[in-house]
Amino acid sequence: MPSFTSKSPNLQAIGPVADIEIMPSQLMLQTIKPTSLPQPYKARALIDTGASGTVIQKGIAQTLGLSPVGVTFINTPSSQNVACYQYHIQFLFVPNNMIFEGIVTEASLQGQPIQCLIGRDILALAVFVYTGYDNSFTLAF
Amino acid sequence: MVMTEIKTLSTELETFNAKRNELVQKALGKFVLIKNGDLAGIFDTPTDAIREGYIKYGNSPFLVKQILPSEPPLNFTSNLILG
Repeated sequence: MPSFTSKSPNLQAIGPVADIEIMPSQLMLQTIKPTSLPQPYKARALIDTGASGTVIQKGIAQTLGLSPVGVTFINTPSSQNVACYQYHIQFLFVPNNMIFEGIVTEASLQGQPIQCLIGRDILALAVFVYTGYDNSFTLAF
Repeated sequence: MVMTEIKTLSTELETFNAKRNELVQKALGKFVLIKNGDLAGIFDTPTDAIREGYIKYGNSPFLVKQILPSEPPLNFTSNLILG
């Protein structure tokens, strides 16, 4: 089972974060065969067990030249039924070159040094071990 | 309950909502592909529906929705999203 373990000076403050690269999905690239490819969007992702779905920062899909493939509705602690676009993307976990491809939701991530929330839709495929006393976490697929 | 407005895909959402009951009767749990006011197909998986969307419409907006009587919203409890 491919996995990576990340250690940080203060896991409690920073959270379980990983570098990722976001790209158009292989499904789109193989079906449409665009003449030019966008550069992968380098981002930092937080593994968020409080998120039922995976989110990318608003604007990333536009930067990659993607059109939405759906609309969904989200609830946050401060709002209900906010309509958000969905995109079909792939992203690469830089630590171990593992690729995820699927539908993600686009929303505004406020005041955080992260551009992606890895939600429970992806964690449903994974083993996530948070070792607080060691300031480390492991993600395996 | 607050419902925000969106522009792109609003026609497709209206089409889906208008046909939802009929779709639930005949294809519960499957995935529908809608472009403008046209129902372009029903598929077993979202990947199949999206592939067909890319084949038919290229990189332009289209709507893929699972056919359910009501749609549970995604929930975010950590307050990182500006809603």
